[in-house]
Amino acid sequence: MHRPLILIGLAAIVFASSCDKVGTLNSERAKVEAEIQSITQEMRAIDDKFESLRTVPVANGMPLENHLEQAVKKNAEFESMLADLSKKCAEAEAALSVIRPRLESYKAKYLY
Amino acid sequence: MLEEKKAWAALFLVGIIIAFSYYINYEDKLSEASSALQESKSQLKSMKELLPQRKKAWSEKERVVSKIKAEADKNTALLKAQEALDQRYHKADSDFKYALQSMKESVERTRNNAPGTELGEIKLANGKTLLNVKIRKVEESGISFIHADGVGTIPSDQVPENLKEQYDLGPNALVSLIEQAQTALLQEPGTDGIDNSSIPPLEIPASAPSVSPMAKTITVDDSKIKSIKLRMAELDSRIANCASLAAQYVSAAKSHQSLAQTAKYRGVPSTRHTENANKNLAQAALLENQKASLIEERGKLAVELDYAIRGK
Repeated sequence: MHRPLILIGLAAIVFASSCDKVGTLNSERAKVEAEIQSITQEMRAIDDKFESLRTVPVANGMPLENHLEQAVKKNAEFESMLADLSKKCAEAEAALSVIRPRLESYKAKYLY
Repeated sequence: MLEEKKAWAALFLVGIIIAFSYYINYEDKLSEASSALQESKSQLKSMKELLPQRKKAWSEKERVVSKIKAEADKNTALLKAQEALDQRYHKADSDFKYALQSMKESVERTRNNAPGTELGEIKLANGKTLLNVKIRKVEESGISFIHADGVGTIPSDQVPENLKEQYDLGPNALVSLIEQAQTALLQEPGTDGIDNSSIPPLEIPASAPSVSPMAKTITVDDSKIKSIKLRMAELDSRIANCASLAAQYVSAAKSHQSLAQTAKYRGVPSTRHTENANKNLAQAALLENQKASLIEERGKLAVELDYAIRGK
């Protein structure tokens, strides 16, 4: 007489205990979503950095790599020209160091 | 008893139906949660794959930016070196000027004092000896003497060494040496001749690029601002010109359309007027397009100018 009741009760217990699986899946999904959120923030931060490079007109809008190449080239040219000028200044100073005593000596000998 | 059994059976069936419906509902929820989880996992996987790529791309960019910063620093150091060299160059130049002027004045005084100086006997470079020598005049080319045999000018290369030195004559004359050295210095372009203005403006992050990107301006080109302004003024003029011409063409087109209408009413051919009106409208449209592209170009220049000024 109580057999059907027992069966119904058992079915309800099995059903109730298996309901927990959805909760487990949902909590697992929440963890995954949190991880996605964290990665999204990280990527957004990287995107912001890229964006900040795009919004500022670096070297008249030319790509950074080209800008670097041009800067290196121009600096090298500038450096070479300065080195050349420095050499010439040194030569001029050396010539002056010879000329000055000769001039003073000439004045002392023939003018005073 | 039978009635009771039937009631239990009915109750059992109802229970089974309820349980089954709950089961179906549960299965749906389970499937939904499972597919959502799969979807999220798949999204996470693709994002995890993408993140290192983005990080790598940014680190490469960062490397380039730090190199640009290094070049900018180098540029600053070179500009300082240029200032120092400028000073050295101008000092050497003024020292040469002073030495040259001073030597010229000294030599001139010595030469001016020379006439009348009695030298007695002198031996020339060619071995000839002059007696009772008296200086008459000293010039760059040589010395004019009065001597026992008469009067004569001795070229500077034949004059004795002591007189060459005294009157600064010949190829080793100090004045000509100073002039040569000065010319050699002046032949150099100096730092004024160095095209440092063509070094591109290096706009780079002040510190770490991730914290404060593109903040520091190392070099600003004033000529760039000037050239942008000039280009904008030129574009303004061209835009006004286009607008004026377009208005003229539209007006002409209207006039031809009016003539065409009149011709139609009169029953005379109107094709020529219609064609002219269409041609004028086409020209006006062309000019409007041109004007639009010029306005766009001007807008870009305005942005560029804004950045150039802000950079300054």
